[in-house]
Amino acid sequence: MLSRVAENIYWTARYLERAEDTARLINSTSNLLLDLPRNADVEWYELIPVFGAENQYKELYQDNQDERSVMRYLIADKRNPGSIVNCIVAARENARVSRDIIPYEMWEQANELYHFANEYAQGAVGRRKRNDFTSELIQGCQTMVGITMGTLPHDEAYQFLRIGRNLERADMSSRILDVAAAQLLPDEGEINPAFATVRWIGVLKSLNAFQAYRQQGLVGISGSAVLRYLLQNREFPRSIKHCLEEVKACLAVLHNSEKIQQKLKLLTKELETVDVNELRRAELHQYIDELQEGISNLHASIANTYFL
Amino acid sequence: MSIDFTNYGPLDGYDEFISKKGNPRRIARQVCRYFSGLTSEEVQELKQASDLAIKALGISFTVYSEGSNIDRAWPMDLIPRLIASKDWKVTETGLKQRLKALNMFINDLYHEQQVVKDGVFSGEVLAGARNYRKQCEGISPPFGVWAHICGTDLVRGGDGTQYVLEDNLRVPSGVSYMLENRHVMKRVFPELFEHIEILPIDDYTTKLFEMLAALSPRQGDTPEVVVLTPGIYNSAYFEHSYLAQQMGAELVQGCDLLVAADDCVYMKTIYGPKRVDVIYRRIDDDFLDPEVFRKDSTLGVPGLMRAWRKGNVGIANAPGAGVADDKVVYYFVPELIRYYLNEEPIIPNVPTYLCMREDDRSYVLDHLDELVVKPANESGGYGMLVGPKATKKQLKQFAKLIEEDPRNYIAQPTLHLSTVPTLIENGRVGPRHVDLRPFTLQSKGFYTTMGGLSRVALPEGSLVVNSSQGGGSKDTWVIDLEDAK
Repeated sequence: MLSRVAENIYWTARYLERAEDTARLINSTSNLLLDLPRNADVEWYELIPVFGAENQYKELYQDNQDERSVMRYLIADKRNPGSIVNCIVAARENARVSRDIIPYEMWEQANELYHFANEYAQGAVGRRKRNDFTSELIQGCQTMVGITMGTLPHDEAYQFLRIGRNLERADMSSRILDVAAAQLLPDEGEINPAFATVRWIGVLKSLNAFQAYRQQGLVGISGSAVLRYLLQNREFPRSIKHCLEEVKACLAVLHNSEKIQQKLKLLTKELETVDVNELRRAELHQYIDELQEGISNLHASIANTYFL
Repeated sequence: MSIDFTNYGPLDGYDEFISKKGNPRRIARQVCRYFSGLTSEEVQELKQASDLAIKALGISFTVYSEGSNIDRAWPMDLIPRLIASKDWKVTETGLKQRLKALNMFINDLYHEQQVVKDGVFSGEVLAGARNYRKQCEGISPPFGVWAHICGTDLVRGGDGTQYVLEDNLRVPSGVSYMLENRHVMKRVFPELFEHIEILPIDDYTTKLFEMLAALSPRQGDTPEVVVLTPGIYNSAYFEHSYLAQQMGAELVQGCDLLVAADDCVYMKTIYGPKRVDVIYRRIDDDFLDPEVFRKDSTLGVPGLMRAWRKGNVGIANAPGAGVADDKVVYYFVPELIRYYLNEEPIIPNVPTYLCMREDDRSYVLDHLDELVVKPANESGGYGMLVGPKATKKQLKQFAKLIEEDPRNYIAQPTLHLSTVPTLIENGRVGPRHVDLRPFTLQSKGFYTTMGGLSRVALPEGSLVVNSSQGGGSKDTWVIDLEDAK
């Protein structure tokens, strides 16, 4: 398999996952904001730090932090490289240059998503049609995952696709946890802010984890239990532990992956041993920073080994 | 309201469906009957279904416009072009005859040049041949074949006679659209395929792969064949990826390949370099190898010519094959067929004037407003003059160009290309001019596509079929009339 093609496939998966995760986050935030009273002091703008996009956002929208501006930036703004529309365009471009090896149906689906996003993204900035847009987009991305599993031979190309998807997902989950923790975990001496439970439910829902979390049979929803679940649960497909396990399985199939596997092992070990109950806001933030750096190092080793 | 073929517009020359008397020709009867039986709503629905299929399949072409590339949905007309299989057999034989002679000619040019010594081909023309590559002299590619893939443009004149208009021997494109048109038509008109004996075209990519595999320098069953593309911004990128995918070959760019110290070609894979046996290149000679041709080329592979010269890699079409893709050489092809094969040409050339010949030149300059003037080495319909449609200023400009560089121009009478009914607005049909580009392969043996890509000039009266200039396309059905149900 050509190095360049492996890289394209990897990025196709990453961009699709990024688009899907962004849509999920927008969905759950919309729901959450509908539930909370007006004085709950939760703002749309809180989504911007999740993407680490404070600076660019400020440049483009100055001090406008209203719902429409935030939504335009995240969904339809062509100037934002991470907007849903741009992610879909990038995914399609990467698929386009891999067309000789990806199954026809994958290309058709990438193409369909592209036409869909281009046509409807602008309309989804307003509240009325937004849910339809995000839901259909999520479904379209999931269709792509299904087509991939069912039609792409499970050879190297498939592993790169899976690695891309899971690294992106782990990265996005960690970002969501980071921002949630900054707002919701108690710091020295402070008590939980208002509506903490509802907001932790919101965090679960943004990763589609509410139902699965509930099925564990835990009583109540606490910050530390949610964190533990989303960081360390092995079975839930959007928990970070699960994503890393997936990457591990993929690496086992590829040759010359020993060094990368070593790095992954260290990262996983830290993840398993971190004591969520004991973490305070600042420590958690620091840990998640390390985790994200680990994920990005993993990407760098994969690129250095295979994408030359 | 339904489609009326018997009175469908002023016929301008030879119509392939309708006779001069206004009746459907035998070959077109079933198709006419089918389309006449549709209401205009049904026609609209079918048109929508076909547009949707084209969009969903991502069949597109790229146009350069105002400095940027635009990806456009491929335009295909619903009404097919029809050819009787017994007529096609003759055409096919003629195409193979022509390619065989052209390959013997190219091989001769890069060796003894006997054809020049015997006075059949003009040394003056050879001296001015822009696509002649000195670097290829003395090289003997497998089977003596240089042009492995040839796209021949065929047209019918006003009296229905079929002519060769052009031989495209460099990197001819369009075959993927031929295949995809059929794909779409099968989706949209499954019932027609059930009732009419339409000969299949699907084996092209298999034959292409076999032809390429025969060029492999290594023995064995699994030669590594790659398609070399200039990349995603090339107008034919869709086709490059399509063909690679259909052949199960890697689609590579120049940056994916390298020539190692052993003068073999390798591609960069995730597990290190892997030997490449055959390159189906879709980039021009000029860009192929910066060590030998254009030094500023970033699309090519340094050292590629070295590897090829040593016989370590097969390249199709061979570097230098473009020497015969020249509209002045075209003039000589009937003579070349007689010279090399001792046969009469089966498909004639369009009558052609060579501007480098004094008599011809003065005729051309006197009749510029009636003729079509073409530069020797352009493709895609660029740099042409269509006399009857030109302004005074353009005529003057071309007269000057011809006088300055007569070797670079030929002229031909304006052909009234044949017409085929084509859907125009409001579910009506009108006669539109068409050409046909079949593809012929040669390495160990020969193969010709069943029919080819029919291109159609969509604006009324237009003779320009190039997709970059407002042309559309039609699926082309070679029909076995004897078996018609």
